[in-house]
Amino acid sequence: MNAVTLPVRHATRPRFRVALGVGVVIVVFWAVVAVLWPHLAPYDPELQDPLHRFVPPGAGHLLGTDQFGRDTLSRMLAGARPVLQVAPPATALAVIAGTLVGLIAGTHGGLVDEIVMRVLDAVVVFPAIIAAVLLVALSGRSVTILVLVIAGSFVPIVARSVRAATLVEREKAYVEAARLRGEPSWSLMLREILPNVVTTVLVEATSRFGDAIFAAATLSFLGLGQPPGSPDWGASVSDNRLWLQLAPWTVLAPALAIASLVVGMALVADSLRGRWEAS
Amino acid sequence: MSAPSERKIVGLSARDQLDGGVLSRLPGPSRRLFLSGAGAAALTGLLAACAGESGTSGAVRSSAATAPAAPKRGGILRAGSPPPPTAVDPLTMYDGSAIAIVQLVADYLIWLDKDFKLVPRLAEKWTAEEGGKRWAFSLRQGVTFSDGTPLDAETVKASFDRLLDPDGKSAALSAFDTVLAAGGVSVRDASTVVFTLERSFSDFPYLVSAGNYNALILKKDYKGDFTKKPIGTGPFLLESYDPSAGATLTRNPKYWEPGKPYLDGVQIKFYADDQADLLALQSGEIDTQILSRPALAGPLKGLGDIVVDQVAGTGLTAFTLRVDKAPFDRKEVRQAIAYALDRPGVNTTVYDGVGALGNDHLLASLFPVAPKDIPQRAKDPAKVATLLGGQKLSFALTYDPPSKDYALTIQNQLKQVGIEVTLDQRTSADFYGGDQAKDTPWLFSDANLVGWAGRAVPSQFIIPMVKSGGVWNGSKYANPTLDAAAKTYDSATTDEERKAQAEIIAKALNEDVPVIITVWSGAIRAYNGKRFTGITAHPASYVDFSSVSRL
Repeated sequence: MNAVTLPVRHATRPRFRVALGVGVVIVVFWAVVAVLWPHLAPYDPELQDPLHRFVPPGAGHLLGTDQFGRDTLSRMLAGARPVLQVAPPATALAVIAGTLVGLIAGTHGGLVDEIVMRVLDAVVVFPAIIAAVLLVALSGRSVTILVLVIAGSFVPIVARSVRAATLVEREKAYVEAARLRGEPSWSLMLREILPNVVTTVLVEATSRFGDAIFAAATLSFLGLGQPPGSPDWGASVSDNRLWLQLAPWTVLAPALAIASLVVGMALVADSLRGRWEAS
Repeated sequence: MSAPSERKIVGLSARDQLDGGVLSRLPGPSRRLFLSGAGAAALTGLLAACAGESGTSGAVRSSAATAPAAPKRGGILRAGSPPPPTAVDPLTMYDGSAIAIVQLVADYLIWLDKDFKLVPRLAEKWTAEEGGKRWAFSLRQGVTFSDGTPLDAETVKASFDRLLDPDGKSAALSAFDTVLAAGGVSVRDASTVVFTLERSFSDFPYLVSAGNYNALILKKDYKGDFTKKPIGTGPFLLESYDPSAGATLTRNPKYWEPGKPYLDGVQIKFYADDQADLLALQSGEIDTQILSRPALAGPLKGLGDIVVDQVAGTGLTAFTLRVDKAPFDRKEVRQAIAYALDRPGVNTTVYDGVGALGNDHLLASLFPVAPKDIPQRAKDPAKVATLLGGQKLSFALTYDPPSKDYALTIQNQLKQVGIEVTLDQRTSADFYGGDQAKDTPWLFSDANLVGWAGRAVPSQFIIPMVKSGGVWNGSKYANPTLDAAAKTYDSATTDEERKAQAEIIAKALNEDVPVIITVWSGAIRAYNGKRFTGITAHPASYVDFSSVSRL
């Protein structure tokens, strides 16, 4: 057995390290930018300059300017903050709620499991975009609404994964022993099973974080996110796509920013998943 | 493209509030595209056309200017356009694509050309009676519909009765409001139609011209099924129409103007995406655009075979301030905002330089009665500070998505002089929805942006927008002096009297600033100049392909 597994583990460890390293660097880079952009951006991202519209990338404006003469680089840097204001809390909310729901369904089984899963099925089939439109129409645009919509759409996904892991764990001897000791169900879930499904939870968290970034950008692209004029990446892609031919840099810059952050998170998630599965 | 002296050529990218994409989205007053017009002499054109001479000469000059000496006959012109969002019905349409299709098939009593002149079409001449309270229109002889039915006064009466029916779905009702009511049209003889107005209105011919784009002459038995039974007196016949693909038109052999149209037909292709429409023009898939967006088509000028024609317009985005509520109840505050705006910057950023600077009154310089001696208002931060007197000013600006760029520009410009603006973007349904007499945002929010399509005559702005109790008076402005001048203007019989009243109105608005008008918009049309000639831009993106010929 060792003769088979050892070469595989030797081969995968460097790959894990490189992928994880690249992913972490990308994510940390954008996290730092989100915090420090006022000190990094060469211009005020909101400042309009009618005399310098659609300036191509060059010395004065490294990534050019948009239809209002606003500096594309500054807007790209400033756009990291709105995305990272939404994705982490949405992911955290989804993971906490989804884990609890999955634990409850998996630990109790039977009717409780059946009811919870059918409710989750109903939530899954309701399109997140429609939910976003409804919530924005009722409550107006805000970060809170974005977080709730994204978290709500991810809860069933997390819950399903955690439930599946819980179903495996609940059949194990240590759970049976705890049950025989008379431990209440909340203790079974949180003290016995949760520590043993934490890997699943962490994998879900990293995967959903990448998805949340993309979801936040998508909702902003559709006009359901940040207020008008925000340097938010999704909104920037949406606002500038009309001038894709004339000024492609205005679309490429925010699009590449979204892509890099999503890829960064995917690298982190895949690396962690691979490492945990291998260990 | 010929006659460059009559038109400017677009040199920069541009965006036009009057393009069809915007038109199709503009609710409220903007749907009433009486004409998105510009050009020179509203009154001059009117008076000249009344004489039945200058109007005709204007048409001849236009044709002569745009068509070659010996136009080639034949050829199919391929035109790109967004698909009409609504039914192609002359009675109810309000979007640029539907209007263009109908204008190729049906005709008006009077055409409104790109220079703002009235050009006789189905009516050869018209005369005012009883001081402008009654108007008689003499019809062109020998005109027949495409099915052979002759045009007569009864048919014209039926067309306007249909438009004036208060129980019908006419989109032109508001255009005739307070001027012409149902029952006001009568037949004097087989070739003379008489309109008896509710009040004197010396600009009335504009209301029965293409400036009121629903005012097409249709058969008496028209039932609203235009795409199924497309019968008209226009230059082309609608052979087929597919809402998702386009329309095919062929030459109308019974067209009243001898020798025209030169083309064998027109093929209209629908593109749901502006970029696709533009790429089709660049690749040669189409020869012209119906609704060119300056921002996209403007930069094509000089690239390959593309020619871009530009005309001025009278469309505007009104920055309306509630004069009856703080902080805008103080004239100084309103003036301060007006002096804080960089108008050339707005023109460049929002209109891509296609527009003309506004001066906070409704007499566009293109209207012949516009006063010439009111100094152009310009950005003056020192004056802003003086007018505000240290007052910290902040307010919410309400608008709908088509005005987003304008709102962002205003917010940025006012921020530079210390005025904080919170943007309150609503959906168009929300912005123009609600109780029109009580709480609709576009009429009752403290400050808002409303897109107004161009009008043929200033009264069509003044009466609803700033006259006391006007139906679309969002500023709640009330000035008896202006009211009296507006009334006198409409019944004025001489050019001098009209100009005098216009000056009173303009000075009042410029001084009181209930509405800030930074720019009057313009329009462009892009086409392949190596294949066709005679294609021109129009302030309202109207199409007249009867003089287009291949090269």
